[in-house]
Amino acid sequence: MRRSLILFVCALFGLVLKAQVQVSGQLLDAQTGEAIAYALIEVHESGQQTGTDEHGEFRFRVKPGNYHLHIEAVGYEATDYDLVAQEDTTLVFRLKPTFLELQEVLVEDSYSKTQQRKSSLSIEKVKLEDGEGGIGSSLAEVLKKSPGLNAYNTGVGIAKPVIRGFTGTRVAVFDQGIKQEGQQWGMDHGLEIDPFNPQTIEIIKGPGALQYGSDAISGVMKVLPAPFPGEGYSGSYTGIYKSNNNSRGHSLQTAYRHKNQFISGRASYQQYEDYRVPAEEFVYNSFVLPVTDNTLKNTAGKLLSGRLNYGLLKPGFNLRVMLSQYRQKVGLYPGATGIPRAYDVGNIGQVSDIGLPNQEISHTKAYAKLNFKIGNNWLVTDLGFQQNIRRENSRPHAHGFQEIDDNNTLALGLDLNTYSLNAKYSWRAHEFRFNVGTNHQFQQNRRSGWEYLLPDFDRYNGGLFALVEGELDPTWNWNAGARVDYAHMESSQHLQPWFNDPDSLVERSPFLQRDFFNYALAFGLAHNPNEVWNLKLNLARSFRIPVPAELVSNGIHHGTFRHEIGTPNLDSEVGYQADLGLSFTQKALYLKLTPFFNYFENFLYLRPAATFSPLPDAGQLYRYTQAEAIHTGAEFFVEYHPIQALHLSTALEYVHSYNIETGLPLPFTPPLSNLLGAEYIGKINQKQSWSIGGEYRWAAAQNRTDRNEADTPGYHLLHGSLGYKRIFNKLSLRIGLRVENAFDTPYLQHLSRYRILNLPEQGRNIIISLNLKF
Amino acid sequence: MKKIKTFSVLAAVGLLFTACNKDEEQDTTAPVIQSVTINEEDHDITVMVGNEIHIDAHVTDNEALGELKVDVHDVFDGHSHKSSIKWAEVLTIQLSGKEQHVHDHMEVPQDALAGPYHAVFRLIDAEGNEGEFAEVDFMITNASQPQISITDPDFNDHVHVTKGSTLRIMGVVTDATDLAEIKISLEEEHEEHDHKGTLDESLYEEDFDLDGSADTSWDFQADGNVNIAIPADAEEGHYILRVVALDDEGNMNVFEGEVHIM
Repeated sequence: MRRSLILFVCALFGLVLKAQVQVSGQLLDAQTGEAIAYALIEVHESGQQTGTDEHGEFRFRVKPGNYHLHIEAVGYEATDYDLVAQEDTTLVFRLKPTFLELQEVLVEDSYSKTQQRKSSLSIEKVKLEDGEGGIGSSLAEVLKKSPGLNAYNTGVGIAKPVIRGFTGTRVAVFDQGIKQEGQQWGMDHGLEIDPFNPQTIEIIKGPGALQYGSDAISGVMKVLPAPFPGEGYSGSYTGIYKSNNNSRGHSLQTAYRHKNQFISGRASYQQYEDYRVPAEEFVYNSFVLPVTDNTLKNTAGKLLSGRLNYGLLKPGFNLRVMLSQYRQKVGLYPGATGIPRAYDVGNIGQVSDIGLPNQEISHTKAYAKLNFKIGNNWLVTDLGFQQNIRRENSRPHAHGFQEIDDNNTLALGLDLNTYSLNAKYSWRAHEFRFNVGTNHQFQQNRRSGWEYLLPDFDRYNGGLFALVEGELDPTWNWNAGARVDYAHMESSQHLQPWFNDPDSLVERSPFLQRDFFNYALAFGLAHNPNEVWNLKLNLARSFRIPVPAELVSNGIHHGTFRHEIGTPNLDSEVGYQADLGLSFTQKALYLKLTPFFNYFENFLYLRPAATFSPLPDAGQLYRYTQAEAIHTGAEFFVEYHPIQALHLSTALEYVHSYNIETGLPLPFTPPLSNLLGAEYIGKINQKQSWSIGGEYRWAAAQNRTDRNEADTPGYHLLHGSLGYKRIFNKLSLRIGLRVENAFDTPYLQHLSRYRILNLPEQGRNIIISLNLKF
Repeated sequence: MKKIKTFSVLAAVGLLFTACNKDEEQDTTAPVIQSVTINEEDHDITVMVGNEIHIDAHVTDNEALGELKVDVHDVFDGHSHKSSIKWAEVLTIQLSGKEQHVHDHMEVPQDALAGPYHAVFRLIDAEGNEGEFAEVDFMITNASQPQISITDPDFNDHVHVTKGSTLRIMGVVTDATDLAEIKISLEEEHEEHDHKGTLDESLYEEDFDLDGSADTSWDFQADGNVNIAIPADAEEGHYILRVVALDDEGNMNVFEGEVHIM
């Protein structure tokens, strides 16, 4: 009796002691065997981070279970490891040294960070220094450095990400875990994310529909959350000045961490004047119109953004909460909505004023992510709310609405509320990794204003997916998945008075209720025959559910300045996609070729109807139609370090699109383009370094255009930069001087809202930036 | 593995070729507006209210014409009076064939406001190719609009002014009911006929607001003191003296006279 009691107490004691297991080990250089100090090891599911000491050793504790480890160290290829921790474990990692910057990081694949070589999809990673995103004229501009990625801009301040020529509702953008919903079908609706905030952006070039849903048919852009701050107080200040439009931007970030909790926040402000172009006139419809003082009238803007984060790490769960608001007001060039008039565009007025017409946006987000352990595995859930308020302001009389008081400048108001809920569970069994998840989204759109484009609508979209990953042998990784989606949409009928008969009521959009049901499939392979070669193949069948704008809109859309009409009975777009990737990696040389091929059934596009709009001063009607389309192309990227300090790269991209029904290319196809880059980093000592670099952008002419789309001539641009970094005791300083378009070259950009007016892009821009981390 | 890769590449290339060779060259050539006239003129057109305007357009296309749209509205340049609505009208004409001479009419309502108007002509062909648009400006007059009468200098003759001297304008602006605003400017003439020109080279610009309720007459000298000092370093050439008069009903009248500075 007593013996069994002692045994029982011992066993109980043992259980309590064994509540957590210890994982320890060492990181070594694969070639020299030397210890790697100050590396970072992160436990994916629990969020724990630990570093290696000067002996390359690490130690941390976790509750027994399955975990995925990420190991990153500067100068070494990053790696990941599946850990089964049921008892104390010792590990040794041998990391391969590299000069190549992108090999130092991991990418997110299916459910966790993994090495690029194991992923079957082509994933681009854009790493920004703290606040560096503010250097571009808007967040989407940072993508231009990478092959296959572009931005469609409306002047300065408004830009949409373009992946292989696709944008809008064919590219899903995620800010941390919440899918950005801001009426992205609009060509002049930019990304409503603070450009100073992101530090790492991952882009999937290819179908991400399986995990990310309908909108990801052609790509996914993910702004990853900032890493956990260090213990105690920390923060940074970034200041950026740009000469071309007298832009002044400031961003302040602060964080406080105590053991396993942290709170952080960022506030950014940016203000800029009308921007300058290297032209004194432009020709539109055989009229010669002035560009007074090389300045584009009413293209000034301002931006104010704030974000608050809270995080809590516990062995059995971790929580992250985020609140943010983004406010922006940008002037729109008056010639872009209607026929430009010399007296109007020539009189530039005050360059700092934001007059009419303009666009105002307020985007609020509230988001919470909760990971918790169930058995040996983890359930990841997130909940989000977004409110996107858009206002397009202009003078009613300028649009023929004479009966409206000229002081009522609200042309179009769109209020969109989106509620989202996601959950994902992953586990390992019999050498396979399983991943199941569900996504739900509910949206409400309410309109206002004296102009009409699309009605009030409510929309629900839900999906369920499952993914399996496995290894055929150590050199072959494969993955397969399936997804089903259901969507229900209800949009209201809208009656609008006719422009010259205020007492009449004309139905602009019918009442519409529709249900959509569709599925997606994906299969991928990654082959690593040796350390040098890597081959990827990804095959997918994806779909995209039409958005309400494509079904029931009926009005002049200022994003394109056309009268657009939706077609209520459109089917979902279905795409059959093949992506290939071939890469060659050595210590100082990296080559990557990524061809792709997409065939779309029911590709949705705006077709000129050969009938005029009955609205005054409106051109012909453009109707949403469906057709078979082919979309193909490739990217080629080379990175070479003749010596470690010198980085040379070239990124070539090409897209070829074809609408089988019209026999014409698809609109807004980016031209063949190459970006040549060189950068030299001079290390003065452990605490100081400087850099000098340059970029040469060449774009071919784009003569493969859709009906009524103008050809765009090719151009050459040169950019240069100088940088200096210094670490003091607790401060870190970074100064940068950048010249964009060094030769003040006038050039037309095919992917630009102002292209139809033959307006060149920004001229020479000298950018001074200062970043201080404390 | 290799088979899948080869197959997909072959399939892609195959599809591309079949698709490209299937259709003939697509017609993306825009139709052309060869000429447009209002009342058989393309400039200096004046129409009295209550009358019909004749619209003529000569249009061509390489394959098949589609539609012609005529938008008529005012170009009062931002002057707006809530009480009165200016006349605006839209006319869409169906076309056919490769060439057509269009003839149509629009009735100018009796109560239309007097002032500068224009007609914008837009053309599309049967495929939806958009041509360049064309515009014709014209003035609408009525019985109650302001009348601008300049007695000196005589704009029927050549008006010359030397640099450094003063250009005295003498005359009156009258209205049947009540004048509201008079704008006078002396600007360099531009080759392109745009509505108001740009802000450069403006030697004189004055805005006179008449706040009374029965301003039926306004004198250039007595009320406006319109004596324009021509700077000694002014650029020689042709300038336009423009007088815009607006009454309380919203009727506008515009006078333009050429001045040669030497």
